Amino acid sequence: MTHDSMAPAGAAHTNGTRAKDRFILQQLVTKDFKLRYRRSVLGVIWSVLNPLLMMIIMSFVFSYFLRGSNVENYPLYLIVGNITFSLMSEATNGGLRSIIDAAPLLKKVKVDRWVFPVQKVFSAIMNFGFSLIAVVIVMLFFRVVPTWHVVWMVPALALLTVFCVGISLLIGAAAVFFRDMIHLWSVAITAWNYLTPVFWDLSLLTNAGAPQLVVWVVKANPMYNFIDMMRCAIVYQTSPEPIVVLLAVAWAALALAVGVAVFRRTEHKFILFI
Amino acid sequence: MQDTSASAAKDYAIEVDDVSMIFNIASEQLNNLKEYFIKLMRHELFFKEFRALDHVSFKVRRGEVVGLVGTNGSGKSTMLKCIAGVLEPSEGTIDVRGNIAPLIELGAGFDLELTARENIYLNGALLGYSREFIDEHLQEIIDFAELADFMDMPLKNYSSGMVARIAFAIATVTEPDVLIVDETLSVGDVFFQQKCEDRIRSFIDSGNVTVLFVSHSMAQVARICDRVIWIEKGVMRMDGPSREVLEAYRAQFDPAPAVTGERIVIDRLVADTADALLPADPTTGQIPEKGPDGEKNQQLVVYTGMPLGVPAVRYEVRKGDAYFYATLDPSLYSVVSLRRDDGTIVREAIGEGTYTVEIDLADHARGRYELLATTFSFTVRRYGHYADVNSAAWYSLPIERAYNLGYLADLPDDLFHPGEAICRADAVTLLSRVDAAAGEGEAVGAAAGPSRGVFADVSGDEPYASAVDWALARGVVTPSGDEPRFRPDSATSREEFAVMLARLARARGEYAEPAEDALAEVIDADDISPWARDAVAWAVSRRVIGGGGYVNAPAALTRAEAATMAVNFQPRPRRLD
Repeated sequence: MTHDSMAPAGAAHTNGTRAKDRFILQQLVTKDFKLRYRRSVLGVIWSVLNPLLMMIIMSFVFSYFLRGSNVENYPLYLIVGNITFSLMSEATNGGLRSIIDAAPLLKKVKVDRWVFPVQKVFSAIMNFGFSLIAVVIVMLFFRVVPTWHVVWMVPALALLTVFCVGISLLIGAAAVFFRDMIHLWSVAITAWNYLTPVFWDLSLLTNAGAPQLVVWVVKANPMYNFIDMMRCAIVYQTSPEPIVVLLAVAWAALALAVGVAVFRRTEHKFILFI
Repeated sequence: MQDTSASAAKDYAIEVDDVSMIFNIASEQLNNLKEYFIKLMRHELFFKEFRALDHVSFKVRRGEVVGLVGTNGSGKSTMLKCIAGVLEPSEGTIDVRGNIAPLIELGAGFDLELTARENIYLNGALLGYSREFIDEHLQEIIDFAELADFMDMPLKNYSSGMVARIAFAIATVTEPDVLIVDETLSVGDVFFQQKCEDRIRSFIDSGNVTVLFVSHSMAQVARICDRVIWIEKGVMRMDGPSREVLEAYRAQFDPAPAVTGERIVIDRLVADTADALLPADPTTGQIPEKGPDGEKNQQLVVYTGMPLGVPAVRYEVRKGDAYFYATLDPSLYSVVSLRRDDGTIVREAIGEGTYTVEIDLADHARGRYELLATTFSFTVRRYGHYADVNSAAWYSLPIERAYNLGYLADLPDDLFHPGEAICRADAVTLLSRVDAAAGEGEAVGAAAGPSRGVFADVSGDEPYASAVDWALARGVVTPSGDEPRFRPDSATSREEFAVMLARLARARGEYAEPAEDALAEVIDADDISPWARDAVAWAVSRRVIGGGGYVNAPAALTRAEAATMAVNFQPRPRRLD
């Protein structure tokens, strides 16, 4: 090992845990990405194709269904809503099982546990990135030209990421102690999907004279706010209402605070339950 | 390290301070919310507390090579995992300065779907290497693992040995500050294992690497480590120089008393029979016949041919208020002298006779043990009285026993002829000795007087004549016909001997009517002559003859079988000596 005696001490290892965690995160995300499409003919194209096909089918069906809505450019409206919601559901579903799935690793090496739920969120964001290509295709197809408002995507995505990290930490930790979480979450996601105006439009509710409480619930729903921000940037091309931004920030902050608090308190016991 | 506290702290690579690890073992597995809440409501959430580590503290200096020993489940692995950072101690703190190469479980985070190259980066990241470092040393890792041609093959196509090679190569590509080696680490084939050992050895020899070594192989630990920490049942039992700790550790397996630090008093010699074996008087050197409580002194009997010249010595050991028996580890004592009855010192191999042994503690055992009994005597008897009785044969034990019971005599040329048929003269001789050993035969024989004239073929001068007298008096043989003959040289059939034994039992009042189905399990019961049926049934029910299977009643009885039946007949055999 002659080379080592020459090398300055510590050269082999990353400086500090932050660098180590970053490298691990990067490696895990790369691994997920590689494994996701390994051996499939179309490979990463599926990340683009998937939301596109979904959009085509749904817009075909729902454009007849939801005649009363006054959404212009429904396919774009739909695909943005869909990929945003999918980002959340993929991230949290990944985060949910992340600790349990990392059991063999956690039992063997010292590694910061939070990297596993966070990595799942990053993987979902990466997938979201490819889905955006589908959005671009739709925009090109319908000749929608983006305005400067498209930069609202950045805070929208950032806040949603923070929100997903918080939720993933929370439910990832909870699933370690109660495996019921896994089943519960799939129900919750489905219900949440219907509660959120992904394929329908809020005006359908208000026009139909729905009780104010229901409207409030839908509007307070975190996913409504994230999706609305995203749509403002891409579909409506306006700035989102301040209340929407405010609620999105509040939800992201709350989720992160609760997620981190619960994760911190329970992570020491993970090893005993996995 | 920005450690301003003291330079002394920097000398330690590992500091384990009052560490406890508590596991809550749920009395039942609750993986489900409903169950949990029901139990919570009913206040039925009970956990059993299990302390895997109990207030363990130690420090390891930089460059020290420390062995960790303990039986399975002692807490070794928990300790290692705490040091490696996988587990967090419930109480106490652990400081490890520098990076750790945990060779505990290799290949953490390996994904079988990824190629070897991809896995090197992934595993490297988990071990805390930087990307640049892996880039730089990738070739070196590949070379060490000797798998250059397979780098871009998914790991799932590798053999387990190949996976382990890669894992070892990654883990040891750089000299770590702390190396944790688990003995279970056996990687690949013999050649690669050698390579691994060489690499570990090079780390140790460098003097910069602090090594924690876990093994069940005492020899390996003794060879590699300067210092050993012994953990047992979560508690640190001992921490010190390898030799001392390993000796104490080993002592718990050998029945020798296990002591740590405090003195242990070895009190009294005991024989294997658990009878008292009194020590010699320390001033006079005399072995008392009776102990202070009036118990008779038994002598330890040793047979020649036993592997030990000096018998395995059992001692009564006193430790505090507790007494227990232990065999003194031969490494702990030395034989000072071995003397015959007449006091002369024995130098040659020991033969039959009574000997006195004086033993003393070996130097390294002094201070920790104290011998109160230093002298004891034992008797050496010849083992295997007959040259033609192989000690491995089924009949060697019964014949030894029969001899020790006094049923058998010393024979010319020490030949017993175990496989030959026993003649009737010898059969009655054997039975007369069985009776005599029980303390009844002689009186009966003497009272009956000479049998001269009863049998035409027994003149009364034969060596077996007195046995025939005894047999007549006891009714073991009965003269029949006008001119009764004893036929002393004829073979004895198995059923004939059973009849003789049954008659002896009857004469001694020990005969019990056999159950009607006593012969039910005998396959060849039809071969038994009518006159011997009851006797054979009795013999089977008394287990003189093996019940079940074949009795072989008309067959000639061999001498070995006769001895065995005689031994089986004796209801409560007296002690071997």
